[in-house]
Amino acid sequence: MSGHARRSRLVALGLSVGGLVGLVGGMVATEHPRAATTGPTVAAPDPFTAGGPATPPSTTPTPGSRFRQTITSAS
Amino acid sequence: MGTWAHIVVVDGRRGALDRARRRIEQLEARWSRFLPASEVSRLNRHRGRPVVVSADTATLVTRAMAGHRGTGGRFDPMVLGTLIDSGYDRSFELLDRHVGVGPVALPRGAGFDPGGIGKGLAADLVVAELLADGATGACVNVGGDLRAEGGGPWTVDVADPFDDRRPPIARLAFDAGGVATSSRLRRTWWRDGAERHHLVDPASGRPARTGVAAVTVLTGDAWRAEVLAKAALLAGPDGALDVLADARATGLFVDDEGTCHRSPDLDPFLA
Repeated sequence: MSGHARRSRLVALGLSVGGLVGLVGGMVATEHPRAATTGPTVAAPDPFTAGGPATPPSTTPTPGSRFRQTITSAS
Repeated sequence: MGTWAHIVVVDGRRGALDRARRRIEQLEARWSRFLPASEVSRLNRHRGRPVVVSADTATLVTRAMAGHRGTGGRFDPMVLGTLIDSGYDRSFELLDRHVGVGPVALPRGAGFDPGGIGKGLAADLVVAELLADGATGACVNVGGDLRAEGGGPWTVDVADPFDDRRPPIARLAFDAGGVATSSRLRRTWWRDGAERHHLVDPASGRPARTGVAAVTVLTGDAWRAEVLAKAALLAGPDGALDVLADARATGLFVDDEGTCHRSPDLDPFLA
């Protein structure tokens, strides 16, 4: 292969790789547009004020349900 | 967290109990201020500098901040006797500006003690994970701060704060909720001829003595129950139950004379 032909192949390969990179880059840019730096923000609810009360017992605890029993004390 | 834990799993998958126990140990390793390698210890060691922490610890810090705001500053995990002695002079509000999505930084001069809120939040997290794992019910009690949901009703004995060998002062029952107890009668020590305890009043910087000996709170989450128990204790006998009512919680407190006072809406939860 002559020097001219080798250079032509390298140029063609470079163009192909460059085109592929451009194509993928374009797809990424299209699929994942840069996030806007400004815009509406959603405030997360305050976890303290959003907390609800306890749920009262739906049935009367049975005296034998000892596995559903525990204790609270300061520790 | 330096305490015991009691875990009950209802209809859980094989190994659920062991996974719950390991999860509590993981949270202990992240949150204990007595373990030098914990994330909380690193936060306190590197005050003023950003520290990368786990999502668990970020949640803990944001919950603590919310508790501080929600109680008008009565709950303050930045207040520690040891930190005051060592020159603690920063307001907890400063922490707000240092917490974001990424690393967490404590302001210089401040120290973070998750203490009780860590126990309550650990109970909340582990119960939620057990239920997500397929259990029909779960109860996790970390040193008296507990969360129970599903498979109920659950009953919780409230220990006598003056002597836990006596019969319980109340038995609570509920299908889902969090319970916590705070008392100035525990974790006490003597210094300079005066008895000290771990509940410091942020307003004075001194161990609180308000006329309330212990508070037990029942609400939706254990971490909120813990926050409210401390806030109610600091509010004193005249304001304790109002603190609970304002936060959609219920409960009871025992004054220094040993008299038990209950929220008006506690009745449906008494077994």
